[in-house]
Amino acid sequence: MCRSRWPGRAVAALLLALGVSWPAAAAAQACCGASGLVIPARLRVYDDYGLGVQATERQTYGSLAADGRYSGTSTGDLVTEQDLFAMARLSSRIQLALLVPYVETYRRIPGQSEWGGFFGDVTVNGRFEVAHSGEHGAWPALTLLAGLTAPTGRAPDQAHNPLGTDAAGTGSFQGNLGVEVERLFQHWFVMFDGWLSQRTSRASPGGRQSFAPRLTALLAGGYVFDSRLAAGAFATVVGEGNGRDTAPGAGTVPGPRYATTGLAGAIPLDQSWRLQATASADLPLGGWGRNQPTTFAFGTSLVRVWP
Amino acid sequence: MCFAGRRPILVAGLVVLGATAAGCGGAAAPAPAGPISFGAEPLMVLPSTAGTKQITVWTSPQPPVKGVNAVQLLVTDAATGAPLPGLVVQAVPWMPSHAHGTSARTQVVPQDGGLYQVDNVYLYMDGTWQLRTTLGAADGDDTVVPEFDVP
Repeated sequence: MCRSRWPGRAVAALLLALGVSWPAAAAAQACCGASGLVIPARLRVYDDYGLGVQATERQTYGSLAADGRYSGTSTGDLVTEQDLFAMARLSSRIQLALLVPYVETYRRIPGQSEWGGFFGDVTVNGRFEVAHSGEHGAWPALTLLAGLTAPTGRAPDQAHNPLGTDAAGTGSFQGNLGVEVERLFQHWFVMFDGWLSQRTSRASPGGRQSFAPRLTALLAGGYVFDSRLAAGAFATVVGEGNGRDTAPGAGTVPGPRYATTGLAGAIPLDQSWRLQATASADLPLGGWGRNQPTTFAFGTSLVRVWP
Repeated sequence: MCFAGRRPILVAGLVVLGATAAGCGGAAAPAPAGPISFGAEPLMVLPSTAGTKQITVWTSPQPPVKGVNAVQLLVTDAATGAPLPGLVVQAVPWMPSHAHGTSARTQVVPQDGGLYQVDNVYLYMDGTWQLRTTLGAADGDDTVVPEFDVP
């Protein structure tokens, strides 16, 4: 089973690969520019508080069917999302982040189109920094991750607008546990995040649908210039097993599976403000991915921190 | 822990949210793009969950598309082939891989000869959809779950 193999072996392998085989470096540059390049709602070691807004534009350009077949579309949804987030460091090793999304969707079907929006599912994330960079010689930084998403947004079947564009929620809670390993090499940095997520079941017509655990792996790397401008690339792989539905005739429910790749950049405006951007695309990997729309996305974030 | 400078961000965020919220809603109910018509050839023939009924399925358009569709069901006795009128039919679209339905409610119109027309079947995204259908009868409910791939 993937579940037992992933976190243990993969993390151990990364620790070895990233930590032991490279000499210890002062990492004076990467330490201050790399944090949060891909995940903006993250404080640096010496930040106490932070506040930010992230705007993301996402255009659906195709979909992966249940059997993995890819097909393109010219009438996919256009989704604009604004996330407000706040971060606080509770101690030298613990930080919390609260993320409130507001999701707007433009949808068109033959003969009709509609804009709509509403608040999405609120997420609280916690980070426990077991080891900071450089704290234990050549070993990489290690952080334990935990998160909880609450179904504060409307699920599609609870939407009010005719085309359902005010739906911005999943309709169930989701818990996340993960680990992050980050290694700095002077100007370069490499980061791996792995999450195990589980949604709570939700009522379906005639029954109740439950979900398999979802595994997410994020690999990111980049370079921090002397000006602390940072640029990098990332790849994410998401896979969810087969869920179940107790409704008569419903059977097993194969969960989504997809991969995303993208570029990221961060510009420090001063010691407290930074501007970030990401551009990404879900890969049309026919035969591997399944049950998922494929999108292009462009996101920008403005983050204010209080050291 | 200085919070100076926080207010401009909050104000800007609230302005954006307020402007978009004000623009929501007010559109007409989704409607089929064209007239409803069912062809001679069915899309599929399925047994009911209990196995006592046979359900023949047509869609308009056929195969179904992203948008508003109509579905016609012919319900017959699996053993004799006799049509079964008078059932209380309810149908709900459901996308199992994402665990959600749709904003629109279907309308079921019973017709002659064991035919039932399900209108306003709104399938708004690409992928596999189920039409979870309950066939209510005096001697007990049965179900059938036609599955559609919307390209």
